[in-house]
Amino acid sequence: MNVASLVGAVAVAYLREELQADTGAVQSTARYVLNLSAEQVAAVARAVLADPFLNDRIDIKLPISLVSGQGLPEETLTTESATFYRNADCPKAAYLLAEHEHGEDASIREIAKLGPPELLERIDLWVREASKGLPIAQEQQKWWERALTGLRDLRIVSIDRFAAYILRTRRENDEAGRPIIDALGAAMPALRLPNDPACFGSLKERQRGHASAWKQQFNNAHKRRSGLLLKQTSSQLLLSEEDLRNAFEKVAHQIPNACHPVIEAFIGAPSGWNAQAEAIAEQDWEQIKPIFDGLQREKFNLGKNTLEYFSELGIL
Amino acid sequence: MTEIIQLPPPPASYHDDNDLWLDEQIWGHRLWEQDPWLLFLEFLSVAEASHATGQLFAADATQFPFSFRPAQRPYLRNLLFNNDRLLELADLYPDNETAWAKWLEWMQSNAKMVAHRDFSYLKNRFPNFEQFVKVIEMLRSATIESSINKRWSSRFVFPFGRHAIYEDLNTEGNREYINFTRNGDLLYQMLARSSAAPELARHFAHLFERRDPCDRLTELLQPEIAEERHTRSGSYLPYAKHPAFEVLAQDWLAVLELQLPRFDAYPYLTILGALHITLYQLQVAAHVCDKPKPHFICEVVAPKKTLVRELSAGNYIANNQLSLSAVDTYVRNIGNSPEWITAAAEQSGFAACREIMRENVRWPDEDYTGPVDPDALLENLRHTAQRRHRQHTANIHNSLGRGAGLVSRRGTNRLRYAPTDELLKALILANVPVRMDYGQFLGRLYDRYGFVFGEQEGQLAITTEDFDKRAFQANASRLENRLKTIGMLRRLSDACAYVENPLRRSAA
Repeated sequence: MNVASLVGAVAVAYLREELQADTGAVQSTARYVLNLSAEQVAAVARAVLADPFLNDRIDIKLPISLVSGQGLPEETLTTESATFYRNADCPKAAYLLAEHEHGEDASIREIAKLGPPELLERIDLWVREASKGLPIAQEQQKWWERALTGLRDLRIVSIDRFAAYILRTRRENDEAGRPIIDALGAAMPALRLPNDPACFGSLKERQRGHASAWKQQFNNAHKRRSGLLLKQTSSQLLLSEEDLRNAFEKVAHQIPNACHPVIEAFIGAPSGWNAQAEAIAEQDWEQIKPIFDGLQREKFNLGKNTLEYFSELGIL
Repeated sequence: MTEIIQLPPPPASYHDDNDLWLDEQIWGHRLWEQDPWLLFLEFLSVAEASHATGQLFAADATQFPFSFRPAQRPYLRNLLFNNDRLLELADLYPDNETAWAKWLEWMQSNAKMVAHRDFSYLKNRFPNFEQFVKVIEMLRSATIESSINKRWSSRFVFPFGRHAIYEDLNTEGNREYINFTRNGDLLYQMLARSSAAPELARHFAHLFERRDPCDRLTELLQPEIAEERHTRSGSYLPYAKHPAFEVLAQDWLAVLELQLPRFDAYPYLTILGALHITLYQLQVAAHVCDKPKPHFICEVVAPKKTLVRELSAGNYIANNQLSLSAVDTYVRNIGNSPEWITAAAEQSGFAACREIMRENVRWPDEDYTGPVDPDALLENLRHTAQRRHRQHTANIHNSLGRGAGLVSRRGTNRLRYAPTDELLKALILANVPVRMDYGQFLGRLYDRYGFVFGEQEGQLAITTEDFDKRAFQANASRLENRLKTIGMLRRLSDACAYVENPLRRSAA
């Protein structure tokens, strides 16, 4: 499963619920406008076509200028804009359209949108789709949902990165056998944060059911660590190669030798997000964090130093 | 698109106190952090000096060394800013003659930077001391306030006309490059090298010659003696042609052509001047690094944190590192040059490499004590250049970007791009002839400046995994509301929104 197909699966789950609810006798045509990238729109269309329930009920009409080359059947493509289908008759229960042309917004304002905000409102669907086939206890599934709600509320990631994080969490759980709490920490490189399986270990069990507690945890990790990977302090000051090298020299003995080449490459690399930053994000944070701790200035204890000074002079 | 034509470095005999010529060869001598108003005043002092010799925006500004003789106006400055006891004496001595006598006596012993501390010429120009005090008070109220120009000799009155324009000096009357950092020289040279130079010359000549009542007052405060002017030179702009110069000149010209009443154009020119120096630095850095023209994800401040804010903060960090990358690339290019590779391959190639480096960046000097190895020499240069760059030139993006109203911490504790209303107004005045479709306006801001507000531009500038269509749509919608609030946008019944330049409309 990739990002687009996960988005497609969630959108299909969303549409299923919407259309299943409409069981009244008198039916008018429902219309949904997808507000996603071309690849994701195509993934949603493919998922709808593959779902017999939705395929019977949804007529897909996507702008050819947006999804040409995505391998969709010809009958799902149109040269008409979404505005054209605003009042057009539909042979099925619903139209699935996509917003593409600039300036159409006012014309299709009244049509139900299906984009990142709508999909991210339904975190339960994301977790349900991502956990399919995983032996996860219900409680863990609930924690996963709360964690994602906290991350969403922080509004720091796009839907792509959000989906990538969910997929990575699934992989950590499925392939590495980590419990969800650890998998959420180990999947952090998908958010451009350091890999830290122990990141959420400090959350007590009763806190794990609260999205606000997760939000706080994600916020702390983002504030304190995301800049470091870009060679910036939390106050956006640039960390020079010299600063990092000096810090590394001080703490090299505390860091496993296997991590040294990655750290050396990171120190020598230009600042910003690049392959070296990505590589260091993949290292276990607990092992490499001394290099960033080493950047903190040693506190000067005036009292202690005064005593030392006078004792050296033999006055004390 | 204007091509980039690079100039050779100035002869090594110039700037001999400069121990490393690297930032200078990339961006010019020199770009330092500065207050936007001081940048504009510095530009005006250069332009006024050139105007005085009939060389305003003339072709000689493209030659090195470019020299000019700026005004100093020591009498005016003493009267306005080194005249602490004026009000006290006016209160103490209600009698006109005594007040004049006491004040002249005080000035006789306290005035500075003037050869003759004789201010008695003022007695004949004002009916009484009280009127004189009122004029001084009025002009003082037009002082350009800045947090960094605290000393009296670095304070400036609003540039009403050529009699109120002067260069920055220390209290001994010597030129220092702390407040007037040479950015203004470079700004002048950029405009002089643009294709709009003749038209700009016409506008500025008009501004300098206009007999504004306040300028006549500043003239009245100065004696009728030939003023002393000193030659200033040495600034160096390494490009004969650059697209950034053209966009800057077009923007200034558009604002000047609005023929705003009196000096209402100056604040907009100040904002645009600071903005374009910031853009110049980043565009040159991107060119050196062989990267695409930088873009700026601009957040229209939202009540809650948005994805656009997050992307903007990340974008700020990436742009902030661009100039340092340019320094690194410049050093790397020296190491990759054929002559360096040939020299380094020889057994005793260090001396030849050192000579190549000296020719390129005037470093290292004779006292160099580092390892005798070409690679180590390059590495040493990289560290030295980075350290030096971080002291001043690296701060332009933050300093002038903030001054222009582009960079801000508003609503958060992280720097990112969140344009102020003043900057938005300046951009509209410079870009909208009378009215312009809103979408077209956003496209123009992206093409000319790299500003990203809406989804169309976001799609072009941002990688797919970071892009969120709806977040940018909401951002563009917030901008639309902001422009509507400041009276520069109208949404018509057919769902078309138009950005309007109200000043151009009234001029038409």
